[in-house]
Amino acid sequence: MLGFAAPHYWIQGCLFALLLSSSLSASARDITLGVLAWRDAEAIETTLEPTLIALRNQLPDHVFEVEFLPLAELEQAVAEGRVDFVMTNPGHYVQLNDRYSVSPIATLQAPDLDPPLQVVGSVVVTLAQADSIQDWTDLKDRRIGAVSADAFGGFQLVRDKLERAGLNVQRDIGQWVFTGFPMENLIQILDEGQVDAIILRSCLLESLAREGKLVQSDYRPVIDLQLPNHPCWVSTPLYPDWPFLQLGTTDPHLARQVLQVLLQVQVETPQGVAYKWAAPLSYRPVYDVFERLRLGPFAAFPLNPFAAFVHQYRFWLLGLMLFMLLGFMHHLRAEYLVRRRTRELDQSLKEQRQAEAAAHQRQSELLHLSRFALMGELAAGLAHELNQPLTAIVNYANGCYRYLNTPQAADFEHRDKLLQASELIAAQGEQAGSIIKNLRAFLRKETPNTEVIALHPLLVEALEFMQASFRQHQVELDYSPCPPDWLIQGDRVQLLQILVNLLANAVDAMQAQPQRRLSLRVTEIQDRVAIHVIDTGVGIPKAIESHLFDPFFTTKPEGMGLGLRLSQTLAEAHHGQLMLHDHPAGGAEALLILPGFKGPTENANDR
Amino acid sequence: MTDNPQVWIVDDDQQVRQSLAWLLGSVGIDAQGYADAQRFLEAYSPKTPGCLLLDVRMPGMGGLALQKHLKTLDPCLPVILLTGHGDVAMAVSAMKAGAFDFFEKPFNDQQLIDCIQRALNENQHAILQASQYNELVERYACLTPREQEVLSLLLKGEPAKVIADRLFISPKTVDVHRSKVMSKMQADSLADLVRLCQPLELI
Repeated sequence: MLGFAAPHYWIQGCLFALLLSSSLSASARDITLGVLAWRDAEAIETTLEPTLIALRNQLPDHVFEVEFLPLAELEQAVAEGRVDFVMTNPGHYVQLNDRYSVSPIATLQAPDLDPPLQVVGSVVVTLAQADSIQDWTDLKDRRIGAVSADAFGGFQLVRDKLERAGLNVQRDIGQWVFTGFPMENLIQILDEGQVDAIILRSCLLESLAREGKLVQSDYRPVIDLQLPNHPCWVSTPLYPDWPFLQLGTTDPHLARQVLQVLLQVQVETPQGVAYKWAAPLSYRPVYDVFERLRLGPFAAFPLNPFAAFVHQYRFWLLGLMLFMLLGFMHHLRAEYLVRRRTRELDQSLKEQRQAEAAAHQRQSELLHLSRFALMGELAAGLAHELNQPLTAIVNYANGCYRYLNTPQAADFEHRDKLLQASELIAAQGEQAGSIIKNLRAFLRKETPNTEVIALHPLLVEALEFMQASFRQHQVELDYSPCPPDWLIQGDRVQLLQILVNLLANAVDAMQAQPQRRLSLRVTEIQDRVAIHVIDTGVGIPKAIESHLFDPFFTTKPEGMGLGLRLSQTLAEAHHGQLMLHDHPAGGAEALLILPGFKGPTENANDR
Repeated sequence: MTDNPQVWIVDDDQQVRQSLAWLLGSVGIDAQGYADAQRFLEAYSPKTPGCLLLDVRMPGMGGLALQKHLKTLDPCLPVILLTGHGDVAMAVSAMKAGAFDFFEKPFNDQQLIDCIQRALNENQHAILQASQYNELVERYACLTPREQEVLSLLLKGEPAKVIADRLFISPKTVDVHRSKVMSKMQADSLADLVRLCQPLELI
């Protein structure tokens, strides 16, 4: 879980001189000893020299090669079986043990302890005058120096204590400064004030003081547990020291021989520092530390998987939550907009339906009126058509009577009866004529209910009547509004009847045409206004031109043939004219000419 | 009186035309029918005595338009309008335009015949008057300027002596002029001369 990227200063070292000298007297058997490079080559050389010398002396049949390897490379060597024995720190052993078949055959005994102890511990040291740092919690937000994030005694043990004191080593510590090996570097950066505290292996400080490299009283442990039988400052519990490991593949006989040698090594170096080997201790406490820190074999089992997961991906999770929040808000907003739009659409749909219903209502009213007018026209047309033959009948009868009544016809047989019959025929004819005359008097158009009407609103109203029909037949309307001060005088309803009739005719005429365009224009001819209704139909066939206004003449299957006739009668009642002719641009033009004048619009109540 | 007066019937309905001709024939009136204004105008020669029966509403040139046109051709021709639509406004405008009368179909035969007779009489009278007037104008045109001066003074009732003074001539010369005027104007007496010259409106 911890992702420290601190630089590692791996010590590359080897004892080629020793190896060369011993290899000369060796047999064919090569034995490789892998050693974790944890201090500088010289120090390791010094501490291991007695062991190596003893091994070579006691087991002359073998050639001992020593490889100083950093953690990862050492593990690689174990994996590939390139080494027969391994010396490494307890933490690394626990990690190796998790993956490879390794077992300790001896544990290193610290050389400078009296009595000697096979233990390792850490101490957090600060300058003697730094009074403010008295406890683990005082390390919060401080700068702390350590050798490496991977070091067992140099870092992990203290990390364990810090975490158990409730501090998060990543968040709560101000800054970690990793210097790499050798550990003595830490003393220097503490002296220079680059850090507030440093983590040292327990007893290193005392050892250096003994070598005269520093004065111990200049420093102070942040925590000293004052463990019994432990002569050094120590801030953490003590753990077994380095193990000497044999691999599963190692010859048991060889292992036994090596163990025998190890237990006998007891060589004093000139500095009085040398390592001895003792029977292996339990590495259980190391496992406990690793379990708590979720390191090595326990790395795959986070303490609180969910919390760890949340912590590790907190930025992603935050981002995700933000994204979801934004998404939710967007959803809310979209929902709101959709509802509002739906409401608006409903409203406009309702309004449109109402408007259509109103238009339909008005149209049916006009249709009703038109029907009445058409019935009148029908009766008038019938009266006219019957009047002509009646006139002829009466004339013939009267002529007969007169011919018979002359002296030349005096001796004509049945003259009196014929005279009587002729007289009766004429009388009956005249009777029928008078009935028709009465009917016509009844049907005679009332004097139009004249009022002054503004032309433009009247035309707009007529167009509104036809709106549905235009839509249905996809007629393109081209109306250039006439000046608002043009007025005409007449009956609004009758004028509307004429206009609607002309517009409907134009629409009918264009039904079979690909392009349906209806133009409505108003022009001025002397003191009269001319309303042009121009369509893009086929125009007026020559054959029917003279019959256009005849009653009962129609080209429409369902027509009565009275529409134009009625329009003409109404136009004439308004002292106007109605004409129909071909338009130069094709199609037909209906021209309605009415007496008109110009005036202020306020005088024209368009209702 | 010169030749038989003619009645022209212009109506687009053939039966109405024929029946009318038949009816008029029964009372000895010579009638000729035409289907529209154009055909009538082709057959018609102005100053012919007669009377026109005209249907108001017809295709092409309407009745009223034809009536107007005839007014310029022959102001004396009486026009009787017939209509199937008893329309007061139309009747008024027709009468104003100088129609002789106006009938609504179907009509009473006696009234129509009487009306036609009256129209023919008036037409004849008008033609006669017109011819008499024309003759008078021709006679007057034959007078010399001096004779015309003498005539206008005679019509004012001036005696020969006053006329002579006005014209700076002798009374004898006035007498010569007067006898010339009397013979040229075909008057028997001075009273006859005054009556004859009344339509000329010389005074």
